[in-house]
Amino acid sequence: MDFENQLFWTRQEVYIAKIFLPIIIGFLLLSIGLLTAFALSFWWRHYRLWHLGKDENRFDQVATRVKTVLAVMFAHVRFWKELYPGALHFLIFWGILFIFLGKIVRLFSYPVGLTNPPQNIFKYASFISEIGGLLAIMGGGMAVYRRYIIKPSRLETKSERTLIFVWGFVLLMTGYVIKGYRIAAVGVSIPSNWLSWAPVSYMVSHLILILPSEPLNELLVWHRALIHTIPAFLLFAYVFITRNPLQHFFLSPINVFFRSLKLKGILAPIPNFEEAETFGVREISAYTWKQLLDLEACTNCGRCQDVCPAHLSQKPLSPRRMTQNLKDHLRREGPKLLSTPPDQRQPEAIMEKTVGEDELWACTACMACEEACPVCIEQISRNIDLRRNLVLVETKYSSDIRLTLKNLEKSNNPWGMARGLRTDWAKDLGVNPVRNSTGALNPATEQQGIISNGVKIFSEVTDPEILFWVGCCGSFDARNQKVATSMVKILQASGIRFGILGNEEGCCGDPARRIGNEYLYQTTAEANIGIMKRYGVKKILTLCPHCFHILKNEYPQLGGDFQVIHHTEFLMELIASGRLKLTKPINKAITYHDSCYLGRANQIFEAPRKILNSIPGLKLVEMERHRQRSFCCGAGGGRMWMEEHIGTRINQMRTDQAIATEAELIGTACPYCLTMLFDGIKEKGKSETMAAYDLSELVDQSM
Amino acid sequence: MIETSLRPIAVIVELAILTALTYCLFVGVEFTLFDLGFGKKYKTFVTWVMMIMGCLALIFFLAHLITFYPRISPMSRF
Amino acid sequence: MKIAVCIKQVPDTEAEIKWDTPKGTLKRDGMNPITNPFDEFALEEALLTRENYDGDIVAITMGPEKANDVLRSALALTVNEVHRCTDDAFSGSDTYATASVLAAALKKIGDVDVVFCGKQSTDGNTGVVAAEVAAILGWSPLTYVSKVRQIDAANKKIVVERAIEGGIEVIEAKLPAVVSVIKGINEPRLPNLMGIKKAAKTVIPQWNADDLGVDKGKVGAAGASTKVVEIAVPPPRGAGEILKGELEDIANIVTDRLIDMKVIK
Repeated sequence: MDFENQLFWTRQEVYIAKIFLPIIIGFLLLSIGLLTAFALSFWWRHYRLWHLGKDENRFDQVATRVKTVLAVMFAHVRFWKELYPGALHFLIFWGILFIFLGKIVRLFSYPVGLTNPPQNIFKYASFISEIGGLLAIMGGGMAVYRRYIIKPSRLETKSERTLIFVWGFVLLMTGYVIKGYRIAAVGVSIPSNWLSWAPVSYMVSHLILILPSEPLNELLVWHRALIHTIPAFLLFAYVFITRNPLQHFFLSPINVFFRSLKLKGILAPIPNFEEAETFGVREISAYTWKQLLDLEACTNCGRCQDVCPAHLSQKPLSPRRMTQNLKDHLRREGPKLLSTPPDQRQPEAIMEKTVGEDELWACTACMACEEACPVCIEQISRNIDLRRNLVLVETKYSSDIRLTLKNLEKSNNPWGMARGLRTDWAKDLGVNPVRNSTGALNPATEQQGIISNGVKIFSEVTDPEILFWVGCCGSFDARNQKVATSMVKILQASGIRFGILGNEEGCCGDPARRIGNEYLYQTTAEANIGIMKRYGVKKILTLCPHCFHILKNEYPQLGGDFQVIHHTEFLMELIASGRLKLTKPINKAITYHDSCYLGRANQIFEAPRKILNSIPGLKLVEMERHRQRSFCCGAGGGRMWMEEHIGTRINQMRTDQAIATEAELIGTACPYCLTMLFDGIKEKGKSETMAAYDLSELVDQSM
Repeated sequence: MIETSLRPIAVIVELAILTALTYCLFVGVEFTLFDLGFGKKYKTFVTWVMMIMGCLALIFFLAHLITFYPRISPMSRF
Repeated sequence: MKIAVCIKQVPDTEAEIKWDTPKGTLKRDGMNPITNPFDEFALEEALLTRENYDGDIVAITMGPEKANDVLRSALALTVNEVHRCTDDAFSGSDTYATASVLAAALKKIGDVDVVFCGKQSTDGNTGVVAAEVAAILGWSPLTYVSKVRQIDAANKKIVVERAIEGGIEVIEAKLPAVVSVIKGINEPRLPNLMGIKKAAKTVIPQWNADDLGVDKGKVGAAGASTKVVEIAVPPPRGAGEILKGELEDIANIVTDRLIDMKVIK
C-alpha cells in the first residue's frame, strides 16, 4: 500500500496512542460488554413475555423459513406493493447495512494498524460506508418528508420517532465530520484519490476548521470521534433498553421466520378440547407465544388499516390499532403476571378494556390485513380466539348471532329453515314433480331418493364421479338457488355423474366457526364427515368458497380428507378439456370480484378469469382492488348473519368500486358475494344498468 | 479557496449538530426514565429538568469549542 | 329457598309440521325436539330468583328418554338437581293427568317454596297445567306473571305482577306458589360450553309411577278425562275480492253480498 495512505491510517495514533490508548481500549471493551449486557437483557425480557403464551410448533421447514427471511430482509419483497414507502425503506435498510459493514471493518483497523500496515480492504470499507450514509440520508429524507409533511392517515407519529430520526441524522453527520476533519488535518498534504474512496468526507473536509499544531489536531480528531461514538453507543443502549420503533430490527425478521406456512385463513382447533377448562382467549397469556410475538413485531406501519374493509367503512375496527392496544396490554400486564406465581395470577380480561365488542365483531375475516402486513402478523386467528371466548365461555353476543347459532343447532342451516326443505330447489329440475298439490312429498320420489329427474341423492347414483355439495345458500337462498340450478344444468350437459347429499347435508360449519362457536362447528363437521365417509365420498364439488375452504383445508383437522374442488376450477377444467362448449355470446363488459376465500385464502385467481375469457363476447375490466388486494363484500367472518349498524355499508362500497369500472355485469364465484353485490346494485339504484351473476350462470347462458 | 466563505456555515453546522446531539441525549434520558417506570405524573417536571440540563450542557460545549477555536479567520492548514 | 321448574320437551314448531290425522296427534319423528320456549323464561326466572335470594333449583320434566335433553340444558345452566318422571303408564296423558304427575313429583321433592312454569307449551297450547298443579297441591296459582316483585320465604309471601287485558294486576299471595310466566319476563341466558360438557356427562335420575306414588289408573290414556276427537287442517283461506269503483257502488255491492250471505237482513 502507498505510503501516503498508510500514514493516513496510522498517523492519528502517533501522539495519543502512547497516553490514551489503554483508556480507549478499556472504553471499547466496556462498551462491548455493556452492549452485550443490554442486548441479553432485551432478549431475556422479550423471551419471558412471549413465553407467557401457550406452546406452538413453528420450528418446522427451517429452510423455507430462512429463505423467506432473506427475501423479505434483503429484497424487501413484501414492501414493494407500494412504491414510495417500499423504496424509502429499501434505501434506509441498505444504507444502514453498508454503514455497519464499513464500520465493523474499520474497527479492525485499530488493532491491525498498530501491528501491520492496513490493507486495501479499508479503502473499500470506507467507500461502502460513505455510500451507505448517502443512501440512508436519501431514504431518511424521503421518510421525513412523508411522515411530517404529507402526513398519510395511517402513520402515527409520536415524539420517540422524531427522536430516532434526529439521533440517526446526527450520527450520520458526525460520522462524515470525523473523516472530513482527518482529511483536512492530515490527509490533504498527502495527495491521494480521496474522491474515489471518501467522496462525501472529502467534500466535508473543505468546510472544516483545523488548528495549527499536530497534537491539537489529533486531539480534535479524537474529540470528534467521541461526539460520534458516544451517541452511537447511547443509541444502541436506548434501542435495547426502551420500547422504541427501532426494535423492529430484531423482532420483525424473527416474526417473519416464525410465520405461518399454511394458507391464510385456516383456523387452528382448540387444543385438548375434551379436557379443556376454558376456551378461546380471555386474557393475554391464553395466546400462543407466536401470537404474543406478533404483537411485539408490529411496527405500527398501518398498511393493514389501509386495506381493512371494516376500517374503511368507519367501523371501530382497525387491525393496527387492535395490535397496538394488545401490545400495550401485554407490556402492562405481562410483567405483573410474570412476577406472581401461576396459581395466584389474576389476569385482566382483554375484552372491554383493550378490545371493544363492536370492534371485534366488525371483522369480516377477509385476510386483507394479513396480506398487506410486511412482517407476517396473523390477525385473523387472534380475533377468532377472542370470539371463541365470548361465545363459548361468556356467552356474550348480540341477538342476531344468537339466532344464527340457534338455527344452526336446530336445523343445521343459518336460516333455521326445516331440514326437509333443503332439497326444494331441485324439485323442478326434471319432469317428475317431487311434491304433490297438498305440498307433501310424492311418496315414490321420497323412497327412491330422487329429488327430480335431474338431481339424485348421492347414494342412489351408480358409480358417481363427484358429490355436489350445494351448501346452505345454494339450497335455501332464492337468488343462489338459481346458481345451483345453473350448475346442475352444466353438470348434466357435461355428462358428469353427480349426486347431492340431500336433506342429510348439513351446514359446512363456516358461520359457526368464524363466529367462534368451535363446539358447534366440530359437532356439525364431524357429522358431515361421518355421513360422507359412510357414502364413500371421494371428490366434492362446492359452489361456495367458504364451503370449499373449510371442506378442503379445515376438515382434515377432524379426520375428513376429501378431494375438494371449487366450481370455478371445475368449470375451467370442463372448458379446457372441451367437454363444455361455450357458443352463445354475451356481449357485455364485466368486472370480476375476487372472493376472499377463493383468492387470498386459496390463491385461485386465474381459473375464474379463464372462464370469463372463454365466454365469447365478454370483455373483462378489472377493478382497482382485485386479485390479492380484492375488497371484501362484507359477508365473511359470520357477518352475513349480523346486522350492520355502524358507518357505511361494506357491500355498497364494493358496488361503488364496481360501478366505477363502468361494467354492465359483475361476476362472482361466491353466494355471499353474489347476495351482497346483488343487494348493493339494488341499494345504489343501478338495477336497470347493472346485474350481478355467478360465473356458472354466465356459463349456463353461454352453453 | 472556497473555504473562507463557507467557514461560517461550517460553524453553524457544527453548532446545529451539537444542539441536536444534546437534544438527543437528554430527550433520550427522559424517554428511558419514563419507559422504565418513572411516574407519568412527573412528566412536566422531568421535561423542564432535562431542558435546563440540556441548555447547560450546550453552553459547556460551546465554551469548550470557543477555547479550542480562538479565531474563525482563515488560516493555514499546516 | 327451594325453587322448582317444570320443563317440557316439545317439537320445534318453526320447522315443518306433519300431522297424524287419524290418531289426532303430531308426527314427532321427523321433528327437532326443543325445550318449550316459555319454559326457558321460567328457568331464567328461577335462576334470577336464586341469584337474588339464594337457594337451590330443581328442574323436573315428564317425558320419554329423549326428554333428558331438556334437563341437560337446565343442568348446563347450573340448576342444582334434576328429575325425569317417566313410566309407560304416563303415555297419552292429558293435562290433568300430567299435572297430577308433576304435583306428585313436587310433593316428593318436598319443601318447595315456588314453582316456575311456562304459561303454555307450543305443542298442546292448552295453558292449564300450571293452574292444575296449583289446584292439586292447594298452592297459590299465579298465572300470566309478567314480573316477580318480591319473594319473602321466611314470611311465606310472594308479590307478582300479572299481565291482564288493559293493565297490570299486582297480587300478593301465600307461598308455596305455582308461577307461570309469559314471554318477555326476562332474557334467558345461554349455557357456556363448560356447563354443556359437564351436563353431558351427568346421569339423570328417573322417577316412575311407584316412586311418585301415583295411581296408574288415573294417568295416561287410561286416566284421561279429555280425549282428542278430531284434528283437521283448516281449509286454505281463499283469495279475497278487491272491489274497485265509486264509493257508492261499492257500498251497494257490499250490502247485497252481506244480505246474500244472510249476515244482515
